[in-house]
Amino acid sequence: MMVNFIIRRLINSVFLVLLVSMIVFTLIRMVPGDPLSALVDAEQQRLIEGGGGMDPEQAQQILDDLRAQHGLDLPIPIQYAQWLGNMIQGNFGRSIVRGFDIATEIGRRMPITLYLGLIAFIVTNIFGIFWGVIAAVRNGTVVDNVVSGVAILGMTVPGFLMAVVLMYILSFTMEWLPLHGFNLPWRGDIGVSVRSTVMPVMVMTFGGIAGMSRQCRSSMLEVINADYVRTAWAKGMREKVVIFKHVLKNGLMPIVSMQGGMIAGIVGGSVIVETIFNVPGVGSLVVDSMTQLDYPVIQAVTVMFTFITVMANLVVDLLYGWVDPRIRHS
Amino acid sequence: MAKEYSLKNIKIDHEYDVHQELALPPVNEFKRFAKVFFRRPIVGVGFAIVVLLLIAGIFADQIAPHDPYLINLFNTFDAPSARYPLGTDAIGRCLLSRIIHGTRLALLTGVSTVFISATIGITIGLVAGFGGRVAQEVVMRLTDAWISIPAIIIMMLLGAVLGRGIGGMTIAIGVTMFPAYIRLVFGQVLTVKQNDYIMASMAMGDSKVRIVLRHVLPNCLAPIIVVMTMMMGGAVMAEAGLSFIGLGMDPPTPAWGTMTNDGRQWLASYPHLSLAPGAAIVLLVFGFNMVGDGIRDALDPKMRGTLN
Amino acid sequence: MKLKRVLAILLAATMILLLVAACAGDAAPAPGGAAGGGQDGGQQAGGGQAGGGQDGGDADAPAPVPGQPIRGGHSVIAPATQAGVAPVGLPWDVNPADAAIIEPFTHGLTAQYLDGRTRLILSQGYEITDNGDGTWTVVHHLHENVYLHPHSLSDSEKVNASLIVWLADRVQYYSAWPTGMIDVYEVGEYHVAFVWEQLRNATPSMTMPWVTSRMIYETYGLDVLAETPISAGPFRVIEYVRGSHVIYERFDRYFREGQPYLDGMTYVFLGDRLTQGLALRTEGEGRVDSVRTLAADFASEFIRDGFDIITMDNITIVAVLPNDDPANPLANPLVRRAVSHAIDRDTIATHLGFGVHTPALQHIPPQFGGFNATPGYGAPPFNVEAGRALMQEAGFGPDNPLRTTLIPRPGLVTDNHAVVIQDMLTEIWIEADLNIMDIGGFTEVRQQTGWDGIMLCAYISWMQPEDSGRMNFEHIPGINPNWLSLVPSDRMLELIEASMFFGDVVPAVMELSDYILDDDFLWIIPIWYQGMINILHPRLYGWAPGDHMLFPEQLWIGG
Repeated sequence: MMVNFIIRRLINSVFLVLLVSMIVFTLIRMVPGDPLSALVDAEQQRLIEGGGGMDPEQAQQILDDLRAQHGLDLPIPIQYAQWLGNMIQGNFGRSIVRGFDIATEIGRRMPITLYLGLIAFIVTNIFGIFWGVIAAVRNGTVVDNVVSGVAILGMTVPGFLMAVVLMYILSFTMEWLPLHGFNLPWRGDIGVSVRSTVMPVMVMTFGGIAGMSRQCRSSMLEVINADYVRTAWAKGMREKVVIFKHVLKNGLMPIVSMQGGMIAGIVGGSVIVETIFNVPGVGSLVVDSMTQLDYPVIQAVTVMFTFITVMANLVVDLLYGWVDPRIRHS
Repeated sequence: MAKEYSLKNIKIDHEYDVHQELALPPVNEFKRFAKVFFRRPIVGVGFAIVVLLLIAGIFADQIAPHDPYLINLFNTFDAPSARYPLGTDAIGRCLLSRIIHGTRLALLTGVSTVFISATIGITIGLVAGFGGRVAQEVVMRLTDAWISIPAIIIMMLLGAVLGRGIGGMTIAIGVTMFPAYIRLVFGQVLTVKQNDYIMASMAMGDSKVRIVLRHVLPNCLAPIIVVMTMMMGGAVMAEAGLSFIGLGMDPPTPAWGTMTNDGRQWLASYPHLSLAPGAAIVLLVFGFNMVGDGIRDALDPKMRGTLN
Repeated sequence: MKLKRVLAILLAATMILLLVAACAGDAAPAPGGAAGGGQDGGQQAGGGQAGGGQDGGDADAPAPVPGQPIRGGHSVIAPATQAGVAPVGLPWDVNPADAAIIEPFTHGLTAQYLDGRTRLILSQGYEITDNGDGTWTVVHHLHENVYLHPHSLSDSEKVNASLIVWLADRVQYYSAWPTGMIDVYEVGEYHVAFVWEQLRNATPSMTMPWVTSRMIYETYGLDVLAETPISAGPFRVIEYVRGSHVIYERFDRYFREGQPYLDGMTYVFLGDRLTQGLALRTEGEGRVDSVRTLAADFASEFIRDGFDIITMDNITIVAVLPNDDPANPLANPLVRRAVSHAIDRDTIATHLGFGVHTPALQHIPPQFGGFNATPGYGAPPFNVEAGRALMQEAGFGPDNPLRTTLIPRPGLVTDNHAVVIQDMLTEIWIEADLNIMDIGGFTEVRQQTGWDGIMLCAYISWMQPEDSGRMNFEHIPGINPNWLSLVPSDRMLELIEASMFFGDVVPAVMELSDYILDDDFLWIIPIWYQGMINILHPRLYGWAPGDHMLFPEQLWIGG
């Protein structure tokens, strides 16, 4: 039963990712310009600096050759079929602008992004739920107001602004944390790794914690004020039992439904964070490849991100089913 | 011997007589709304901020001390002074004036983005609701695909395709925000469909349009409005994010997001260049979020309070 | 209350975690550690760290003495990144953003001095022979000390001339096969012959730097070669994390006794300007010794705070106007002169260039041969009234402005510059819409579709103005501006030929400049000079002039 559900969802996910790849494939080819122009321009620059030159016919010839070489002169559906065929075999192609093998590069960068993303996910959930519960249980007190206030602030500050302010204060002024550089803890110094993780994670999670704590708080309040909880209270159950048995379990559902959005937020946040903090993850590939219109890289990265998001949402939905007995038995 | 029963002998119990009808005082819906809305002081603050922003946007020309486009290369990076309350930027333009004029742009961006996303979302929700199973499946699959793509990538792609400028940007941002409305409308349509009375009238020839207008939309109007106010802030923040990537508004437009991003490089020497427009963004998002909160409280039947 | 306990525990845990992290990071790994672990560095994913462990300035090296050449030490450099994008690519990729990585260890056989003279690097000398059939052969005698050493091998390899032929296989990267080169073959040990279809000033050096080892190529294949940097210069690569950093270590064979040297260098790629600035200023972790940038405003802060800057590779930023259509108002010499009069070069250089840029009235930067030092020489200077008079003569006025577009080259001309120039043009009744493109769009407009409007771009090689489909020189191969000139054009073409090929370069350049700046033509209007700016931390000031480690080839002696 559950297995059926999972299988169905997996098949759906595959179709989803395919659909997404088709959309992105077409969309980027609609953007004016292409990766080759910049390539030829850079080439020309280099030749000029070397004292040579390139006339327009030559440039056009090079452009045509490059285009044919990368298969960009074929009709889009055929290009897509080729790309898909390669993808299935695990060949993500090579970057047009930089020439590196995309699969290897993503393989190098993905652990970093996943590592940061996972930490951000855990931290957001722990702290978000924690502060939400505190604020709900101590509703109306100073604690509640402070938490709500800070949460609002966290949701309204643009990510990159917070990143630079944090960088300035924690790294430059206080010299607590490294200014740049990042490595996974099992590849290099653990101390440096931990310290270089702090600021990126802070930026990635602040908004999420804020949102989650507010949501958690309001759903907790709803449940706390609900009749069945009052009944239990009136019956004389101890506070902590009430909280854990009734409030948390029932208030958990909106939180589980928030996970999807939070995951999307973390994925998006990783793009900004990796660029500012010089983290060599997949997110920084996104910005680079977008500005250069590097088609294969954009396609590969988008598919990767979508896949992660879809998988994560699948896990969340399973959790949802586990938490909500009504769905489980449907 | 039969006693004669007469009405005189029957004791009438007057305990339960209705002495007078309690007349319920007429309820002013607006007053009730306002009462719940302003119950929390923080919502009042938010509301005041929104009003302030609207005033700044409408009367920007009168309020701003200088022309926001006036370049003065001899007064670059001036510190805040009496003449330039927030100082000047890299080419000598008054920062405060640029922020004030930017209000207009921010509000415009927010409103257009929200309307675009609401239109798309509501339409899709209606189509999915009234369409057959096939239409529903297709729409749901497409929507799922859409929300699975990280929003930032969609915005970048569309921003690149549509070019810089307010038109392209609002579409790019609006397109990522529509999924929120779909579920609301879809759910409402399903509820309507389960109502036999409505379905009967439709079978008798009542037009779908009327059904939509009379039954569907009014019921989901409240949550839609709440979502719309929340998204206002989101649109302005998305604009800031786009400018970070390089797809912001064309210079010399005084867009807050672009100003915050451009000022970022001066954070160590002239922090106000980035922090001031950033604070403006925070204010706007906060204000609209609070107003949205208040509206939701006021429309929530459980919280609407007693009748008097 | 259980909740209070939970709260306290969580808070305590957070504090402890932060404390542990702060303490743990203090013990920085020794530089040797990084070097020693470098055998597989290039192929690791995300390994090592940049800047964190390497302090700028090795504690063991002798302190720099002013006027004495530098000895030892390890320097951290943040090279220029292209328009905010951190370099991602391989050391020998075509992208100029990555050129900074390539410098320390891959060199061409020769290089051009700015005045056209040739400087020998990996080549000891060369001979040019006219083959008699329209082609030339250049034979290079390679330096015996030119070694290659993949860092996976402990020994070094001699340069094998047939390696360069291998480059031909990589024809997908056109930079590997320079324009006009017909053939390459080995002549003897250490002797390589290149055959060219024509000869130019720069021909001896135009082999471009991708000299590498065929043995490695054949043993490990193209993919490994593409992934693993291999050096042929004064430094070898210890660790390379794409997009993050490159760590170099000195290669002893290249440094002659008694000459300046560095023990090592680290390049860190900081895409964000704020990070670069903070890294220069901080004394803590992550500091760098120098930053390379194009941004004058960024550099100005540091000048003010006592840092030293060195500009190199000055180029001229110009306004280029289309001239292939006589009906276009921008082709009218009166309008062109007016545009030149409208631009306040001094103010732009001072307030947008912060003194790092200098005003330009001619196309040749001051250190180039061909710069005309005559006072008053050059394009029409700043004079708004004169500009207005000319515009009125041309038929424009406050009620009849000239509407056009302003197209700045991304990366070289900042948005602020474009906005200021747009503003200045309004003074002479030119209403220009700003059209800011990305480099792809700009290239397309420049090369394929052409443009209409005023393009702000660089005049990189004085002979090779940025061209577009609207320009072509039919007579001269390799140049292609389309030139409708009002002065005799044959002489101009003669001059261009003379300056392109071996000949009397300087007088030709000067005479050409006269033509371009002629009042009735004025096709290209110079505005300011700018170059790559190196900002140096004061701790580097012990270096002898010109010894700054930014030019590793100056450290490399060989022999």
